[in-house]
Amino acid sequence: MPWRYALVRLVASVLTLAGVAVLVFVVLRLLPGDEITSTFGTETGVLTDRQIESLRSYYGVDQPAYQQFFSWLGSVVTGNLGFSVRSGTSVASQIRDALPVTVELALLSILVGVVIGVPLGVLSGARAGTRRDATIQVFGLLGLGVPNFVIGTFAVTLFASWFDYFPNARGYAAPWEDPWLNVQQMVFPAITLGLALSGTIMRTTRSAFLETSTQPFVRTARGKGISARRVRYVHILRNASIPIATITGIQFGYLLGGTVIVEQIFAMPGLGRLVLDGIGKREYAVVQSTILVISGLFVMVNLLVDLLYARLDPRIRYK
Amino acid sequence: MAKRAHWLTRVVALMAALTLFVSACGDDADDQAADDTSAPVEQPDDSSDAAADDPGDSAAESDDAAEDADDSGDDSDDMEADEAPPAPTGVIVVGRAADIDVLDPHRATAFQSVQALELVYDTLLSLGADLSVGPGLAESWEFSGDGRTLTMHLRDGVQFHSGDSFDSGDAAASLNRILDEETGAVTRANIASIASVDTPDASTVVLNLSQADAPILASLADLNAAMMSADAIAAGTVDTAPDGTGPFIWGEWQQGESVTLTANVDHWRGAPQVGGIEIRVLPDEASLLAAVDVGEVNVAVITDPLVAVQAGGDVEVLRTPALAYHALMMNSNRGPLADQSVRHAISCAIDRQEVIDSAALGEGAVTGPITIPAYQSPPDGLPCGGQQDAAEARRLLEAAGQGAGFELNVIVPMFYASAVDEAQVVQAQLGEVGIELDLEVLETDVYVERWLAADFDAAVALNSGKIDPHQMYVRYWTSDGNLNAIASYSSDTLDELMAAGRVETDPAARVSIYAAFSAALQEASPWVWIYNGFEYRMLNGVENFTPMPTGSLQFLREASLVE
Repeated sequence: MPWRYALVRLVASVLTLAGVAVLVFVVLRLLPGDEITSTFGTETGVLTDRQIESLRSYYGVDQPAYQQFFSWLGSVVTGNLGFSVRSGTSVASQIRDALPVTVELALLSILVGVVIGVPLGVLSGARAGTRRDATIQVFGLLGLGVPNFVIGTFAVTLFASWFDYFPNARGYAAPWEDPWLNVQQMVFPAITLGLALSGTIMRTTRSAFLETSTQPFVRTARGKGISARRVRYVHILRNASIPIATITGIQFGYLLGGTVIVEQIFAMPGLGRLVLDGIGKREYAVVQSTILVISGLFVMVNLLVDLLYARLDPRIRYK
Repeated sequence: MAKRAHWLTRVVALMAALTLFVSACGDDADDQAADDTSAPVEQPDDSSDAAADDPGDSAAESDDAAEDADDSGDDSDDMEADEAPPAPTGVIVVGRAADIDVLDPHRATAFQSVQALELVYDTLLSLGADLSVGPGLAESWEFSGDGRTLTMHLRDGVQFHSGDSFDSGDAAASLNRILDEETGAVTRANIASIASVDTPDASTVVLNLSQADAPILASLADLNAAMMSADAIAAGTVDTAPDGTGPFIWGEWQQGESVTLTANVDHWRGAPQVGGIEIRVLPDEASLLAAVDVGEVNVAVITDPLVAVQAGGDVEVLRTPALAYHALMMNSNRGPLADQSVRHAISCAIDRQEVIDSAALGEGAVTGPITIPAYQSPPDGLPCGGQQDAAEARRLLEAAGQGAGFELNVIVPMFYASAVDEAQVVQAQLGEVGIELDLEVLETDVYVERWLAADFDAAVALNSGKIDPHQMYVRYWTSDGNLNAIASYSSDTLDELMAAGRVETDPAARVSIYAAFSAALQEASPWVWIYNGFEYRMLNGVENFTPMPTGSLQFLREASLVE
């Protein structure tokens, strides 16, 4: 009965999120400084004690920590993600703006990663130990090893100085505002992230492929006279797909919060930057709520991947 | 089985289809790109509609346009073109790495916030490009004979963007808001000599001072003393809805993306030359430079010299020596640093030019304490004439009984690009004379907290300058200065000179007072002043923009797009 399984997973997810909420809250409070020092910097030193006291209440950091936690948690439970005092907007509206940027970027990056990584993994796994395998492995290592700020900055500088082309400089355009500009703005960041992903996906595909290809059913299939290509892409890849789906799901979850460097380079107002700015400015509500949302999505993606196993491998049953 | 085998393929295909769909939809919408979506077109009725949409776009391709644009004809007479003002059109795109953080000008300290709000608010007095204090919302002002009363005569007919007219009541409300400790206003200490504010009539404000205070004029020319409407203060909207009298009207702030401003065609200085300004956030400075290069950004604020030196192509680079200075602050309360000759030795052991060359690629100049052009401290007044003299340094250490050397804990901030490099160069140089530096590289807030608590032997710092030496140093080098505990040094001489400079109103006399102050400070050497760098403004497609040593962008009010 999958419902029972789903319920157990749901409860586990809620517990995970609660853990994340507490952890983030504690870590944030352990960081030195608060919204006052982040706003005033060294000028904090010229403020009188009374000025500081009044600013503490303005920024809502005059309450004891546990009280801040429960008042935040209480409002989150009722669907209010908090309020950013300095900008006069709700955290929910900030997340609403940033989430689609990151989700679109993450999906496209995964697409690039899968489209490049899976075929390469199969090609290299099918001829393990050959020169082709070695070449592809080197590519994989490069994808993993070259940091994306190098690829990103290189792409920006190159295209700007050679072709006078830098669509991201025009200010972020949402797909529903200007779809064509949006696509142009997404291509380079997605390739930058996708290249790194393709390395991981390639290596996972290769090892899963190698492992699967030693199984007896592969020999049987070959013995039945099925073409090598069909054996490779249908029989082996299909049976090797679980680790690939797992790694892709994990990478997607990671991208929800992990695209920040690329968001910086390509000036994309996504979730990563929202969190980073929030930490820099010590906007506790922004950071806490955004990380909670990211974690929620991560948990959800993992759950979906787990449920997909049953589709990928009919032998798997959830109880 | 064969049918299900396509699961992955199907997902991939779906994504591909989606992408294609999205990109296909876009073809026709191509032309109304980001440049003008935010371009506010200003009202005035002129018949120049045809030109209205162009400047924003042409700025993007200005490299070609710039050559044939024989522009010198139109722009010089803009100030007196009052009767038939040409409808200002086009949007100047300003790019910078950081987003603004607060909207309340009395609380804004981050450069990006100050420089945006300066375009929206006016102050009672204003600064010229040479940092001289001139009229602002006050047309004229005079001190009483004893310097204890400052009477200011306000400009007539000035309106807030909301439509309220500006009068002495607003001025008094703004000043009182700053003085009120509940506000948390950052310039309160600078104008604390105001005992009370009188408003004998709608266009006169009288500041009754507790003591003569010449540098208060400079403080009144600072954004942190912005004039707000008394109604907005009463309504409590000043931290969410900026409403000033300045040359640009606050539009929209899209967090992390942009701020849009529209021209205030009724501004008392005359209408700006463009329809508006968009301040766009591009967090990575290398990308920002690329954005200027392709012409999508017209004015970029670059802070990292390593990025600035890479500018080329169509980018015009304006370098203005900055008021902000790089220094090694020492804690004179600690161990060997309490000894003046040890501090001299450290100052002598440092090769300032080498610091500039290796940490900032030569982008800067050696400076003494005061970086304000009119009061500039000569660098040869520094210990050892500002030159490295390791032998003298060793001799001084020997004489102070520190010949065996010692160790210092140094905090290093991460908030500006060259800090760590500077720290490492200084570390190597001091190592030569037996002083070991233990560098602690700290995240901004951690650094600030340690700094405020004076919890360091020495601190690598980039300190912002002020437009008046009194404002700049009274907080550090007078025994009751509010940052004196951090500066950890004071003397009767410095106290007396600061007090003398405060009451002196004659500019020439002030220059000699602060020269003496600077000399006394360098003699005591509580800090090692190293250099000041440049404020970089990268231009593409903009003319008549005047940069300032403060970094201010206020002269965007006179700037225009290249046709």
